[in-house]
Amino acid sequence: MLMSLHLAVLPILLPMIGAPLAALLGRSSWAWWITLIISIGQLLCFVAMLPVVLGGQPLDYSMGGWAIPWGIAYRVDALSLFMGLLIAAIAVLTCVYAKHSLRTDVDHEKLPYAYCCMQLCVMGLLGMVLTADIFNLFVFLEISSLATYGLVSLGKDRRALLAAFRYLVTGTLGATLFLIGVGLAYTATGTLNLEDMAQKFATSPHQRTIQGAFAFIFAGLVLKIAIFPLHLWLPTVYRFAPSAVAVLLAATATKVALYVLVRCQFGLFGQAISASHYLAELLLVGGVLAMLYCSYLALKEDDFKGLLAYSSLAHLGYMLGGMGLLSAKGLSASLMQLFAHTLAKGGLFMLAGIMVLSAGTSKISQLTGLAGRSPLLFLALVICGLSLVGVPGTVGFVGKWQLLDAALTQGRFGLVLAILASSLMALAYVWKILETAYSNPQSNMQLTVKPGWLMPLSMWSLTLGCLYFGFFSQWPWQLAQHAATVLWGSS
Amino acid sequence: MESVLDLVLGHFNYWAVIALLMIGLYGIIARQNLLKKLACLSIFQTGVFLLFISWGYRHDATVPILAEGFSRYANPLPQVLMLTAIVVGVATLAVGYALIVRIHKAYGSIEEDAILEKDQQEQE
Amino acid sequence: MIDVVLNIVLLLFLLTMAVSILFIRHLMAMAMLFGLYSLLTAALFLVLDAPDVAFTEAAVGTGISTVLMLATLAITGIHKEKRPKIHLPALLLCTLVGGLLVVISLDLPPLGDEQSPALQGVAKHYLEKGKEETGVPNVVTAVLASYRGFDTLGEVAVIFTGGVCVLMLLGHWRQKPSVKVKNKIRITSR
Repeated sequence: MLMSLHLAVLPILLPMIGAPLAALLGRSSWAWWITLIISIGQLLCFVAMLPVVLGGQPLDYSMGGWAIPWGIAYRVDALSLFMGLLIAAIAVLTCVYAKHSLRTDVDHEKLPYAYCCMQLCVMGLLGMVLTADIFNLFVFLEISSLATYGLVSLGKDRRALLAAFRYLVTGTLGATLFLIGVGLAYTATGTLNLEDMAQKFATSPHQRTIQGAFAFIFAGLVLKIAIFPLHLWLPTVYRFAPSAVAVLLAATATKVALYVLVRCQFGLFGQAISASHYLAELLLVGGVLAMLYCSYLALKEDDFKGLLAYSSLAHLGYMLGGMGLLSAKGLSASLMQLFAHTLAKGGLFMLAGIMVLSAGTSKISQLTGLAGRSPLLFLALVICGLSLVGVPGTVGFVGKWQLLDAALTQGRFGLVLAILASSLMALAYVWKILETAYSNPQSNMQLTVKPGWLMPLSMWSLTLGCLYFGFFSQWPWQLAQHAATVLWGSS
Repeated sequence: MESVLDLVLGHFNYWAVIALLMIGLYGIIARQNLLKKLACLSIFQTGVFLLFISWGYRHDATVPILAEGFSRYANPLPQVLMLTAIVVGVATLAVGYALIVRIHKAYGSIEEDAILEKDQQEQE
Repeated sequence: MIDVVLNIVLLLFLLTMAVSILFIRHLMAMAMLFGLYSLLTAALFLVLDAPDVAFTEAAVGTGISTVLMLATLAITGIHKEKRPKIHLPALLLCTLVGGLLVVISLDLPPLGDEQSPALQGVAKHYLEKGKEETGVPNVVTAVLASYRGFDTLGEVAVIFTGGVCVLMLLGHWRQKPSVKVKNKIRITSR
């Protein structure tokens, strides 16, 4: 009973014990076990919260027992739970994957610190998802970002260093812009609790300040999410980071920033932003541009991880488009798309890591003959790739279908066309990889290093997830709808 | 005339801070030297700290330490937030400096364009 | 009145300092100016009735930051910046954003305003009930350690993360990173 009271804060407290332990014990195998146990514990916390939250009652937790506006509060509603479950599950799989992957990418002595940073990164992300206090959100944003800068810099290639530095500058700029927005919102309302703030926006005499606050929070998050045209830092980071880190980043970090944007735009500023329809148009146009232009860049890219990065940017476009529809349906389609993309892209980045490890290259043109050498790897590539395109029978289809449905019912034919065009381009770039991998079975490509069994295990879990949720999309879709209505009810 | 003076006095802090922010932002984008970039990032952050503290200021008040004989205090909350933000900023800077040291070790330069050029040459 | 004058004079100094940091090409001199800049900020915090923040800025901003910057300079041994070019798009962006900010600033409550919602909100409770509820006369400490203690825990986590990252980047590892990078290049270019 005592534990169940503290469920909401436990996912944050566990790594606060686990991370220093992992760093101090100094043995990489111990660090790995600690990280695994902590991340499984986090996942269990979210699973345990599931029945309570789905009962319709958000779980509130006041830090130090201070009543709501005075102290910091945590709140778990359907949206936080949706994100939390996703992040915690990915964290477990990434940890399993990292055992072998990090060992080949990172010096042995640095491994415990790398695991420590992974825990801190996940802690920061979960903190952002769980907190109901906007400044606390900033603090956790910085924790996860700092850990990420360190992790990215571990990449083998020296270009990882510059990528990490650029990420640090852009990320800090984004976070500082977000902080200005927080400050403006605070001067207009005098409070920092999200819900309290949303209520006070309506009566505040400083409406222009509130609009300014939103503009800054929006700008900061756009930098953090890497929405086109402010995406330049992202592809190099994904390319040069160690494979396991790339998986963690691609599957969770930008998604959480997107979550914050959703939370702020619909939950916090929903009523206050009078110009929200202009904003919706902005989101739609930005989404469409991102879908088309980044898909085009993905088509041109010859590096496997680089291609996946551009494809991620294009898929962010879908999610933005869904948000820009300004309806519960559009938002839940966005969330479903987010879920689908996390599975497929996580799987593909894991696959890319295995490929880099065993073939020694990430150039697509050098993947010839993969299908002959390793039919299983090729099969996983096919499944995740098709899910990315949105072929029926995969989870990607469910996300895209719902998005198309929402766009059609609202008569947004431009968005529909863009989604179709971008999906065709996705088919083209997935086809490009598959064709190269299938062609020339007599090539001299060598799979020199065996990736062990942990890396394929986690990759296959995500790949089969793509298939499973393609056929049984009931529960993520319901959770997404539930999450969307939570926000729509409050605005 | 009176009202213009009031406006200027009441908002001068904000405008100075905005100028600081823009100097920082310009430096972050325009300067190629990585160390300079970090210094400008720090200017940008300091600008935000000043902004918050200005919001907490109150005329004819004293520091927010409760004592006999005083009844008007400055707003403590922005100060608390900035204490946290300053520390966060320095932690970020420290990681940035460490990255610069490593970049210098790997490339022998801390000018961004020179580094990119070296990468280009290497690829060819 | 002396407060207001002091405030404006310090801000003007600060602006001069920022501009010279931007334009000076001698990096060691920049580090010195940077220390001065932080010190001026600390003085401004003091004028604006924020002694705790002033302490922290003086210790952390002026002290640690400057030392770190000097250490970086000493390790890399680079003292001059290349001649910078004027970056027109950046200039344009800054003018645009700055203009937007000035427009927003006109709507902000003026400095020291009594009616500002910030002063009426949560802060009022802290000032009135803080001592009673926490027993600490310094309200900043009360809020930092008690009402918003969780933020402070997060702050500790940030420092820890920063420390681990720096250790990871600069720790004395047996394998020299530069050697390793060179090996890697030879493999990929083959």
